[in-house]
Amino acid sequence: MILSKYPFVVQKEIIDNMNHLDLLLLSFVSKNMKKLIVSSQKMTSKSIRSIEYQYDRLDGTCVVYLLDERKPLEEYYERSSRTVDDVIMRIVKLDEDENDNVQFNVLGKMIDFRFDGEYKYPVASYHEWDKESVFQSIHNHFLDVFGDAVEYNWEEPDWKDPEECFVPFIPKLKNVSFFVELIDIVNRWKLGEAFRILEYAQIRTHHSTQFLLSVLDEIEVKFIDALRQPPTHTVRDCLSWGNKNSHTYPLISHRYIVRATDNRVASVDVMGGTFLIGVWDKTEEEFLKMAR
Amino acid sequence: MSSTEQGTSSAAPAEPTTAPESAAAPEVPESFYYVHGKDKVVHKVSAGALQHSALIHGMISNLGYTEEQAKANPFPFENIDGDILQMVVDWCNQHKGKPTPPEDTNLPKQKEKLFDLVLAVNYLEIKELLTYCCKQVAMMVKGKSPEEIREIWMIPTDAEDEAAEKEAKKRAGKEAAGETAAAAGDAK
Repeated sequence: MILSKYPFVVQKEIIDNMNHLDLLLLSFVSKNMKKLIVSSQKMTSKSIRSIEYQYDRLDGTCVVYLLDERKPLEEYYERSSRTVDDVIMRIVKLDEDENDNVQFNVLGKMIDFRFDGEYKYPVASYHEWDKESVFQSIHNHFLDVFGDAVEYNWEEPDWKDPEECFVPFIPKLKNVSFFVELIDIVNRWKLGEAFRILEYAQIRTHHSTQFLLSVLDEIEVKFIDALRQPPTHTVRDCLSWGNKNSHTYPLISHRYIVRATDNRVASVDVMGGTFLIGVWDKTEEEFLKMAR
Repeated sequence: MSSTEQGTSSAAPAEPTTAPESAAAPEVPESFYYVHGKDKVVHKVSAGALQHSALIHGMISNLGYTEEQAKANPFPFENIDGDILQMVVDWCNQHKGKPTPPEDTNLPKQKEKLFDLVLAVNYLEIKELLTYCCKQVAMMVKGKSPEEIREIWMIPTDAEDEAAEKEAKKRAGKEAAGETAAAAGDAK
């Protein structure tokens, strides 16, 4: 049976009747097959709720789930439960002993894959030095095959011991939401890339104070001289509907961070498992003058 | 297989056996049409069964044949093998006036037969049967690796596609040059 001998409309009908995993595998067969899939993309992406990268920093393995629109949502989390049937790829560190890998050209980059029947999905491998580039090529391939209208998320499983943390690998993937990182949120504020109009936030986490203190190290907080009294940050609480004059909890902290783009300062602190950030309308110099 | 509604030659198509109608229902005589494939074997099919094919349905509407004219002029489908047309006719008869089920397990399992059936069904514009066939073709590669998919569907490699494209361009260039030369010759 020669697929290319079918009229285009028939080829499209066949594509529309394939499941997502088979489509992904077909996309590796040839550039023309990938083009055919891309031409049917509206149909394909419509049935996808999200694609989730679950990265385990301990062994560098990333499991990619494709969650179907028809899959019921979990009541509490408002997201679909994930099972092995939802996995469309695993991305792992290259095991030098593996010799049954085959290489596929993924957007101009040759990547090792294994299709050994042990799993129904492909297993892609990367060298540590080439990790980011492999993840980017694979993600861009997903964008081509499944479309950029699909929700892409990057998650890391809970990690509890502080010493396991901060070997962060967060590839710069287009269209991906990162659920991972408080660190990422703060760093993006510091770089002026996000949350530019933020005035105040309390971010509750499942982590201990000790853990969050190590986060503060990671985001490179600065300190007001310990002998000086830091200024009190508070703003009107817009979320307190009952009382228009309600204000946020006073944030008095020796710790602060500075935004690179305009030198504005934010006081930061941790209380229990909560991270607090209050943004000042002051430059670092003006802010330090307020500390007595 | 509905042997009762199918003739064996264009000269003498068999008379249909009509199913007993309910006593209350008014007697409406069913009209029949005739089709043949590459093997010239004529199949007698009711108008109801042929409604599945948008192509034949359109032909019937446009031609406005009487029963006699239809018998004398079977629709020729020279591009469809006899056994494939037989499968199509059987399917149309089996699903005459019935809602089509979500699955159809009676499709051929052999790759080549299925391939020919898909082409015929697409040509005859039988939408539901085309969907079933395409589902079956899609199932052929379920759970297969890219190399296995390549083998089953005989998909050329990128290098083969590029070579074929180059060849096609070269041929088109030669043909265009030939046409220009011929036109110049005519002008002289």
